[in-house]
Amino acid sequence: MIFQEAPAETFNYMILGYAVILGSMGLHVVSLLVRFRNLHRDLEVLDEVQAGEAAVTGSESRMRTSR
Amino acid sequence: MPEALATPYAAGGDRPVAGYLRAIAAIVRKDLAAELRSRELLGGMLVFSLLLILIFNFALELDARTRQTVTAGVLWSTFAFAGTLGLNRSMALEVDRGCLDGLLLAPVDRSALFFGKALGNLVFMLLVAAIILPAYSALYNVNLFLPGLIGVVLLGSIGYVVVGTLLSSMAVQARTRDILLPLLLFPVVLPVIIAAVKATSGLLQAAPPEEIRGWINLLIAYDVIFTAVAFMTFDYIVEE
Amino acid sequence: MEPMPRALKALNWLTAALFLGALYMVFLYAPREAVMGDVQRVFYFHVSAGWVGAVAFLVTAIAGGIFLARRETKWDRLAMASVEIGMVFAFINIVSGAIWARPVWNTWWTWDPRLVTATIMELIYLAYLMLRQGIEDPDRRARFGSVYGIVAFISVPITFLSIRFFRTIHPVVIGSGDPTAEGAFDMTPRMLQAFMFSLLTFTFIYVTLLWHRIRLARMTEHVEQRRMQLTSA
Repeated sequence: MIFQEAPAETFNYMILGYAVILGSMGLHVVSLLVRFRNLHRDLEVLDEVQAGEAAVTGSESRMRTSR
Repeated sequence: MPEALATPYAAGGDRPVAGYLRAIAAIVRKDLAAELRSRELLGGMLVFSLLLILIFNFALELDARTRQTVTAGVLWSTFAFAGTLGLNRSMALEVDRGCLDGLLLAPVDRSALFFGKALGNLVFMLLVAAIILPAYSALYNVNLFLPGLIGVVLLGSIGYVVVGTLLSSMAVQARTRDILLPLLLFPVVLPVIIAAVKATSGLLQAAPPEEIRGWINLLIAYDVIFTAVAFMTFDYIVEE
Repeated sequence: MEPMPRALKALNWLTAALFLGALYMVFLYAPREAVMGDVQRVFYFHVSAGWVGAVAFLVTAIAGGIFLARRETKWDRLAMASVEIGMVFAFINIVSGAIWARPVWNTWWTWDPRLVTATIMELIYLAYLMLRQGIEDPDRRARFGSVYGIVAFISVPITFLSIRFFRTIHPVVIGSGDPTAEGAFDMTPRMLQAFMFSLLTFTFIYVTLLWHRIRLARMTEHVEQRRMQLTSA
């Protein structure tokens, strides 16, 4: 009896393997993006606060000189 | 503080090597003297080791048949775990009592401090082994008094203690000092454990000599490499 | 905080293109393996990830050494960034190795020297992080990280050799008797090309991610500085 031995049916394992590989890489990239976005937001807040403080000190000095 | 540390170079003068060695000896003497007084280190390590062997007795099948194959593993597991106790405590005492700062002020090459501490730790570890080996021999009727075996214990302990002293000097300065040392130490010291267990096991079961020699060569290589690495990096740990 | 440099933007595109190319080569260009079937395709990215994990570790050790010599923060920043990326890829290496082993050897774990060494490397990464987390003073943190990075890196090849020597004496019943084989198969030229291309792609991925991670670190420090300025003013 001669028949060609077919390769094992391991398609599912391949999918599982690539799901893990691509999933992990994806999660890491997403974490980088999230952290960058959070930092940008922090910078915006800091800018606003600094502008607010400058406005306050600006108006304070204006109040003093108007006396 | 022993006088030898105060002026090692003055005392050694044109023989700095003598001064260096004297500094190392002074530190070892200090550790041994302190330990003789309190016996907390050795006592703790010994009791812990005996308790471990007790646990292993029930955790593993230490019957007459399997004893031969499992003895090496039990012994080195015990040394590895009890060793972390000693390393931690030895360095913690240094830092907590402010001895480390005093030692650092002494005009001595920093590496002498390292070798002094490491040698002290080695002495403690060998003392523990000197008691555990006969105890195990008696409890399980296994002859552990083979000359090669003593050599393996020595080589293995040297590798363990060199890396352990280096890493404990860092771990002791962290908040999580007690849990940190085993985490840092065990992955790095694994080759010592593997080689020591295989060499010990080989000696106990009369394995082919080339095999045992292979493991011993690995131990020697590890000891040499990491003594050099520790010598070069210890300065960076204690600089302040 | 300066915007993304043009070189990095170009690198992003190049790396993405290479990645798509690698996916094509792995799934379509390379043939199906005669014995194991499709799961063998996992091998290309599995080894490439392991390669990145090892290179990242080497970079951490070297960066640590340079930091100890020069004491410039940028080297410590590089070391930390490399650790993070190395950890991700070492994880990928280990898990994909287990998934590959399962259908081939009928076990999730083979005590293969490379797999064990990769796991030890991952544990060392974790210990490195825990060491740094436990130290308050930033200068000391950087110094200790550097020393441990160097010491640990040197131990890894020695560990690999010990485990391999161990395996030559104790051939494991599951898996092939040859301790250096990890699911051995003959590679046709197309497979070899896919493999080399994957290695190249992953190297680019490493460099790109590293650059981004370093930028992230610098930006984090910048924000911290601004925050402290504001609260102290």
